[in-house]
Parts: sequence; structure tokens; C-alpha cells
Amino acid sequence: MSNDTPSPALLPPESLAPAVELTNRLREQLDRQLLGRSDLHSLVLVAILSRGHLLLEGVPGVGKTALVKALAQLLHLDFKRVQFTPDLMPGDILGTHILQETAEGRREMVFRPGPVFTNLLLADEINRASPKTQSALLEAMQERAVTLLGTTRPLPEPFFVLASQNPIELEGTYPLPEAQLDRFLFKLVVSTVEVDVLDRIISTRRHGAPPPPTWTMHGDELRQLFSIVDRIYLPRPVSRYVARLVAATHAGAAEAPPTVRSYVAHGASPRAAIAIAEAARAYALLAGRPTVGFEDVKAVAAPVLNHRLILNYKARLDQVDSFAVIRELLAALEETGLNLPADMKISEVHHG
Amino acid sequence: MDIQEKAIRRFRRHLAVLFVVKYALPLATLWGFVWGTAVIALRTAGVERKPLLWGLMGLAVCLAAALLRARRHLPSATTIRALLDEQSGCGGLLMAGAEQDLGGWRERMPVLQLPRLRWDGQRSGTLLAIAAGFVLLCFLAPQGLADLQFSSPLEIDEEIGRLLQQIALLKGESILEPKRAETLAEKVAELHKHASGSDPARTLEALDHLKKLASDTAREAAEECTKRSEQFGEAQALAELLSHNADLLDSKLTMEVLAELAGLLDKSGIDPKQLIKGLEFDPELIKALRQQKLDPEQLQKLVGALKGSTAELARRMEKLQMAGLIDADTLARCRSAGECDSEGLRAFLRDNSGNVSLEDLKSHCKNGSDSRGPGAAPLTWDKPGSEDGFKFKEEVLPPGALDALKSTPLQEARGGGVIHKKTAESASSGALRDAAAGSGSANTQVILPRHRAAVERYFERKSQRTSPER
Repeated sequence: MSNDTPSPALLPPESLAPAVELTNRLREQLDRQLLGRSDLHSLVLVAILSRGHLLLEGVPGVGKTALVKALAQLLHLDFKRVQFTPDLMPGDILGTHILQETAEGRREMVFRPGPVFTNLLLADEINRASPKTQSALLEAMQERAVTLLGTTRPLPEPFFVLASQNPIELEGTYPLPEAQLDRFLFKLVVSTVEVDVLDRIISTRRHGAPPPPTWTMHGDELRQLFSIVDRIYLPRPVSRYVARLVAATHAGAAEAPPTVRSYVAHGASPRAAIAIAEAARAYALLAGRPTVGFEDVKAVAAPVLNHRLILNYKARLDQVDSFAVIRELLAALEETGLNLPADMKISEVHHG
Repeated sequence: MDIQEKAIRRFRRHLAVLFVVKYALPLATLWGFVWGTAVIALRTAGVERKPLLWGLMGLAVCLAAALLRARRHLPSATTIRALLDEQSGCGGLLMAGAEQDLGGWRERMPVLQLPRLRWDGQRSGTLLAIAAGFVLLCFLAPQGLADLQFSSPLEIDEEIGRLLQQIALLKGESILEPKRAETLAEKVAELHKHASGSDPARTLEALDHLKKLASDTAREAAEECTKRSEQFGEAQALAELLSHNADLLDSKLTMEVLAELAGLLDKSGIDPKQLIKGLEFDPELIKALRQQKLDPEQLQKLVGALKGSTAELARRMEKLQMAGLIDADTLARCRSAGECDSEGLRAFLRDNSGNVSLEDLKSHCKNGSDSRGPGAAPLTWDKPGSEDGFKFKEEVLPPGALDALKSTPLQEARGGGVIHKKTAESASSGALRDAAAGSGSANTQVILPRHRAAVERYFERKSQRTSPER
């Protein structure tokens, strides 16, 4: 939804309040089920509300699968899990045609849908499958449809791909191509929990199993949330900031900071700017605001951009990762475009 | 207009003022230094302070330029709104308020917190203060300091002192009238007062002019003294002749000599009213001389008086020479003019007794010279030469000389001679200076002042000779 078309008036507070309540309950349930990762849960919700796909990166056993399962349970969505292995074939994901004999005795090819025909697909260790299998997901993720033997079959609404990958044990893995990486709205790093949280998990949960949710969302409520997110207003200065931010990820840009000029080989695409805008809307909803502010953009910039920046060998040599580049970019780029002379400064106001 | 809009405008106004001040200070500083320099330069040239205050208009120009620049760099209202939205934590509400109707969210808008603008203008302010102080200093500096700042005094004390001494000498010797001497002294004092190293040529030129005035006055006095000395010398010779060799003179010649003596003293300007200071002549003596009734005692007195007068004139000339007003040649000429060859005259009289005229006596009074008539040997035309066998040699003139001859102005020839009164500017060097090219005629010759008296005497003597014949 763009601002070029005449947009309706701002969401009135009474319309926004129920949606905020819903998101708060969702977060609350997620935090209850999975301990110690409130920020991560917020970003996951943002991705869901933005109708984007999510890539979770973390070592084994940090709860990536449990998170996705809990999410599916809370959202009352159909969930399927696919363990990606090197011998996994595209048909194993998308589905295949099989020869079947009908009751009348005729034999015909019948399409047996694959696990992709679900609302929430967990692609576990997606980097273990072959590139052929990985690319099978490309159309599904972008078009939300599957074409086999000339027939396009739409995927269920909503459709999310939540993929996970292991940053260690890279032998025998196939790094995701940039084209597929670009289709993930967020790449979130799932780290291990703190000691206190681990202590709580051990002491309150047998086998680490999360407690069942006390509340789940209905399908209509999710669709309602989606419509609310669509009506979150993106002011022009903020959209301008998003555009400048994405442009500044390119080394040759005028506003590119020194770190970008030094370490970035290829910057983010316009899809990243769209992703930031949509994610910022969802983030504003979680914050209970009908408009997107600069802080929303800054909150979602790192998850959106970190897997879209292609760094050069100098970054590898200097051990600079994309998060460091994005941090400097956000610090260097002035949000409002206010170009004051070097000897003029604005002292920030401390809010009470 | 709601509170937010007012706050946005107020902040933008504040930012605009800061921008104007930021851009105006360097411009005003630059203008201050330029203006101050112009003030000091113009004050040195003599311009008064008040008109220089027009330089304040430059500050208005600086302000206008700063306003234009500030306007160009001032952030837009949208940018200011975005800044205040971020600073106040409005979460985009303030920005959306410019594009959408906020509806029920207007009341929920957080109170705008205007951030503080900080500008490090200490350096600019310091420089402006320095420039302002410089301008003030240039205005308040005393005029003398302004003059001295760019000009140094000219050291002419020695020349001024010498010139004042010369003027005092001329006044003391009655060569210069007291009033004229005072005027000259005042001019010299004023010149000394305003002597400046910034324009030494002008001062030195004025000094040279005053020196020339003094020296010209002294030279004229020297010529007059020389003339009088000559007259006194001649009169002394005649008086001594009458006193010691009266027996060699017949009565007619004696009367002529007495008359000549009286005429000489009249010419020299001696009268009982003592025209020449220091030359004291007994009025009774002068009276008797005019009546041509001098006894031997009176003749002795006359001789003594004439000697004394000649000596007095020589003494005056010495003073002028020592003061540098006349040169040694002029002094020598004056001294020699007063000398008389009394012995030669007596000898001549003895040798030619009974056959001597007054003119003969007069011609033998002095040794011959070109300034005092013919020498001892008279020019005679007893043996005229013949022109037979002689003719002018014809010669073709070169083209340059011919052109010069053609351009020669024709002058009228007069019997008494043409005497040109030259101005002081041209009488500075050789005798042939300013002579008409190719003229070749003495009638068009420029007469220099120092030769003027001699030429006058020559032609006066010549006219006296020709007039009795007529």
C-alpha cells in the first residue's frame, strides 16, 4: 500500500486500540512460552504482521523451531516443518504428480501438494539443501504460488516461510543465493539465553517443553491486524529517510559513510526499502501509534539490511560484519535531512 | 494556529536568526577591517571624521547578504517539523499532522520539546570585536597621529636656520624692507612647520624658491653696491685729483671735474637724508660740492668719506658672501669696482697737461674692462682700411641651418640696444640660453640679470656720447 493513492484519514485511536491489544497479547504469550527473548519476539511479530518471510540464524538448540511452532500455535495457523537435507528434492517441498487409479478404474496424474501448501512453513536448516531445492522456494516466497507442469496453484493465505540456518558446521552446506536472501524480510540472529533465563527454563520446564498457550488468535483477528497495518501512515519525511538510508548502503552514494565506502561491495535493492517501510508500519502498530516515526525505521533497519549487504574481502580481513556497517550508517545519517553547518549543533532533549 | 504550529514557527525563526548572525559576523568583520583601513587612509589625506561614518552603510549591506544566504540555507518547515517530531518523541504524529487530519490523535500528541540550538560563535565574535575596536581606533586616533602614521618629518632645520639668518642679515643691512623680511621669515617658519616626509619634493621646492628670493635680493643689492662702488671709486679719484693735483687742472677743467663729482654723488643716491645706511656724508660738504665751492679741507673730508663708503660697501658685500648670498666672484667684482687708480690719473694729467678733457680723465680713472667702457687705449678710427680686394665668401648653408634661419623671428633693431628684462626662472645658466635659434643677432640676445646693470651702463654711456653730437 503506497502513499501515492489518496489515503484515508489516520486510524482513530479506538480502531487502533484493539489491534494493539491483540499484538500485546501475542507478545505476552510468546514471552510466556519462550523465555528471555522479548525483543526477538517483537521482531518476529513485526515480520508476521508485515507478511514477510523470516530467516532465523542460530546454533542448534537455541529454540528456533520451538519459536516457530509456538507462533503457529498462537496464530492458529497451519504449520508444516521441512528438514532440509542435501538429498531433498524440489518435489519434496512443492509437491508432485502421482499416477493414481480412480474408482472408475481410470489412471490419472493427481497432484499431491507438498509441505509448502501451508500457512507457516518452517524450512529447517535451509542451507543444507541443494541450490536446486532452495530455488524451489523462490517462486513460492515471492509469488505465493507454485507452478508445476504449467499449472499455477496459489498458496494458502497467509503464507510465511520461516527458515533457519546454522552458522556453524558449514561443511556440506550451500549458502543461500542473494536472490533468495533478498526475499526474506528479516534475518534474525537467535542467540543463546542468559543464565537466569536458562535457570528458569530448567527449573520450570520438564524436557524444556513450553507450556501450552492460554490464548490463541483467530484467523479473522490476524486478517484484521493485517488491515490495520496497511492503514498505518507513513509520513513523507520518514519515507524520504528510508529512501536515503537504502541509497546510502551503496559505496558510491553521496551520503554513504566511510564504513560503507570501505567495506560494502553491493548495497541493498529497492526491495529493501519496501521491506523497511512495511516493517516500520508493523513496528509502529506494536508501539501503539498510527504513524511511522524515525525510531521505527531505525529499529527494523538492521534486520532488514544485514543479509542484503554484500561486503568485500576487506571487510573479511578487518573482521567487519554487516551489523557494524549498519550501525555506523544509522549513526551517520541524519534522519530529518537537516544539514546544519559544522559549528552548529542541536542538543537533544531528554524526555522525562 | 495550534500550539504545534506556533512552536514550529518559533523554532524556525530562532534558527533563522542564528543563521543570519552566523553569516553576518564574518562579513561584518571583513567590512570592519576594510572600513577601518579606508578611514585611516582618508584621514591621512585630510578627510574629516563625520563623512566617514557613511561606512556604517556597509554593515547594512553585510546584513542583507547574510539574510539572503540564511534564507537559502534555512531548512524547510517540513524538515523542522520532522526534527521536532523526533526530538519530542511524537512517533510521526507531528509529521503526519501536516499531511493528514490527526483527528482524535491531536489530544494525544506529546508536548513539543524545542531542542536547544548551539552555535560555536566565539571565534567569530572575537574577530568582530577586534574589527570593531580597529574601526573605533581609526576614528578616534588624533589627526596628528594619523598624519605621523604615514608621514615622517622632514629634517630641514639646518637649511631653515641658514635661510632665516640670511633674511635677518638682509634686513639688518637694509637690503630687504623690514615688512618684506618679516613676511619671508613667516613663510619660512610655516614651511618648516608643515615640512613632511610624505611629500619632500614639495617642501624642498618651496625652500628652494625662498632661497632663490633671498639670493636674488642679495645679488641685486650686490650689483647696486658694485655700481655705487664704481661711482665712489671714480669720485674718489677725481676728488683726490682736485685735492692733490689741482695745479694740473685749469679752471674750466676744475669746474667740470667738480660738476662731474657732484653728478656722481647724486647718481649714487647720497643725500643729506642718508639713503644708504652707514654712508655718512656731511650735509655741509654736499652743499658746498653742489655749489662747486670746496676748499682743500673739505676735499680731504670728501676723499675720506668716499673711501669710507667704498669700504662700507665692501664690508656689506663681505657679509653677504660669508652668509652664502653672493659668490666670491661677485664680491671681488664689487671690491675691484671701488678701486681707483689715482696715481695713473695723476701721471696721465702730468703727461698731458693742458690737453686733457674730462672724458679723458674719466677714462683713465679705472683700468679698462668690458663692463666699464673702453680700456686705457682709446679706439681710434684714424687709419680706415680699404674694402678693395675683399668680398664676402659665399657659402651654401646646410639644410638644417637654412630651416633654422627661416624660422628665426625678425626683431626690430634700435639705436639704444634691446634690453630684455628676463624673469628669474630663465636666468639660471649660460648666456646663450633661450637665445633664438639661428638668429645670430645680439639685438635678440637674452640679457641675464647679472649682466643687466653692465649692459645698462654701457648703453647709457653710449647714448651720452651720441647725444652731445646731435
